Amino acid sequence: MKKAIAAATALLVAALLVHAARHGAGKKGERGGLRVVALAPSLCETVFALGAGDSLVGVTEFCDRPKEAKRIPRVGSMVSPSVERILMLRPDVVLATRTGGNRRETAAALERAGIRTLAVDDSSIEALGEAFARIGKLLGREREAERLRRSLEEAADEAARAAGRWKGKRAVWLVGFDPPFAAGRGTLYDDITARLGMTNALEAGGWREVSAEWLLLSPPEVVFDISGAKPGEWKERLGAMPRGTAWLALPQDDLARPGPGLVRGLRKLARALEEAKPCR
Amino acid sequence: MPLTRRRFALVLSALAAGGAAACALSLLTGAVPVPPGEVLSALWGGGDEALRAAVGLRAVRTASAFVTGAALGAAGSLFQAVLRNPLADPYILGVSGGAGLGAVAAAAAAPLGMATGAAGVAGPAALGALAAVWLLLELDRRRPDLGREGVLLLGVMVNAVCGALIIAAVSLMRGEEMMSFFRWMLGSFSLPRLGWGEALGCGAATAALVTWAGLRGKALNLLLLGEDEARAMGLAAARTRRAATAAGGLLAACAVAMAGLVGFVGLVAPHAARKLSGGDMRLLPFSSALLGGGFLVLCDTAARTVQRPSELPAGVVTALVGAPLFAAMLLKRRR
Repeated sequence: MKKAIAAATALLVAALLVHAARHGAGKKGERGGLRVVALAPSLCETVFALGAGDSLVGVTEFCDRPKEAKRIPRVGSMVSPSVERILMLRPDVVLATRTGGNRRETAAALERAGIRTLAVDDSSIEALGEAFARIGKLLGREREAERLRRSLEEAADEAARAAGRWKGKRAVWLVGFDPPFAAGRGTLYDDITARLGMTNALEAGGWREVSAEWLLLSPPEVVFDISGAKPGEWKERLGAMPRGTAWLALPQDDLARPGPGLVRGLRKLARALEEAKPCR
Repeated sequence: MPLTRRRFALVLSALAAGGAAACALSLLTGAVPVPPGEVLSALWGGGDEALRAAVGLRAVRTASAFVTGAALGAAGSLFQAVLRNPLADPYILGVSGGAGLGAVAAAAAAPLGMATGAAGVAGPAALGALAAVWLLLELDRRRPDLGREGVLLLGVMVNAVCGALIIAAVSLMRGEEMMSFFRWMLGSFSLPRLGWGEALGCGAATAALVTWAGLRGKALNLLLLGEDEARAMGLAAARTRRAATAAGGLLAACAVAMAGLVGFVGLVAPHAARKLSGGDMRLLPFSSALLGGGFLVLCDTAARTVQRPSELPAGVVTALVGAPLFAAMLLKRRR
């Protein structure tokens, strides 16, 4: 037994040493300019959209867009990235989201270690434009940031114009299928709903699991479905579609991430609203 | 009090009536108030399509909760008898943990496997539960000197390891997968997973296992005296213990496949049943199943209505209600 424990310990230590050697610190050369770590896929996309993808030295495991992002070193998940790994990448600044999946503790730990963090808010279109501007200023890309902010505002206005006959109706954003989750007050989608001239049918704050029965029996007039469910999946699970509701299945890729992709997403939303018809 | 045929019938019909009342309440309550008349007419195919679909969802959910609760209650009664320990329940023994590990392994192997429904999770979950049971039985067979406390403690350790591995796997998941998995870990009957196929399949398996346990009640009663005494009275004690543990494991697997990891039902239901109608094992598996079913149906009804139109995981309610209830029963007994 003692031998087994000793062997296991030795093996563990050896594995850790090999791992440490392979992922050694500071092997990246200086790229010139700021060294940036982005702690959310939306932030990673924003940096690329501002034309500063080269400055990224670390991203989360989930940063998969654009393609180039996949080659950047990973620092872990959004909720619990490795602070140590981030420190080893010697960033000048770490970008985080205040309203998404990042924790305040991560930013605090980085600040204590002397790393500057920039936590942005993405709970409304306006806040998101502001986030673009702050990141742009940081990276010396003010003009690009201003362009991005304007195209986001324009896309939101386009969607609002397309809302036409749906203005004044109750709407809900379904952001998850299993379990069924919806966006409540204070979220980005609540703000988009308000900009479309509709009211959010989910009065609770934050992200909530919602009852299937509520969707069937007290249905909002418009459902924005960014749950990523396959066509027909909701109907199969619910047993029927709520009558009189316009159920808009929208691309999750473009709309579920509060970043530059939202510009494309909101344009698609505008087209979907123009063609929307209630379920029968 | 001796168990006469009359008392057996009386207790079971009273508990069945209670379970039926819980199910009726669950059918009549929901996120959106619907008059009882309309619910009844929708059950018989009346009303519009949406109402029929909504009432259909309530019915499936009620049946699923009842079957899960019954399986957990019966599993608890068996584990408690086999280990002669009132703390034994599938959750504490690591059987649920094993099932959870099976499910998370399957989800890791096939991303978004949680969304593929009970069929995607049930198989691996059942395998995990049975592996945990097998481990306990094997340890018990090889090291009879450990005694029943030893086996219980080993179960707690199995649970700890499974829990750690589950958390390790979950922390590597993406946001939406994590959410879906967390709900499952807390025990939930929310929308996508369950249909009549699952409810009826697990219901039939549960009924068969509970009946088997009731029929073996005499032998299980002898086990309660202790293995040596049982052996002295001519019972192949070890075999009975093993068969009963395996049956408990299968029941727990049914429950986990249905609703994920629901705690406290397997602990509270057998205790309450023992209080109400005695600890005779010819009756206890049945009474624990009926009480467990009714209890979980009520907890799930609360879970889906207290914050409407939002929903809570049922496991949150079973723990909130079950833990104080268990503590109260314990304090009352000790006085």
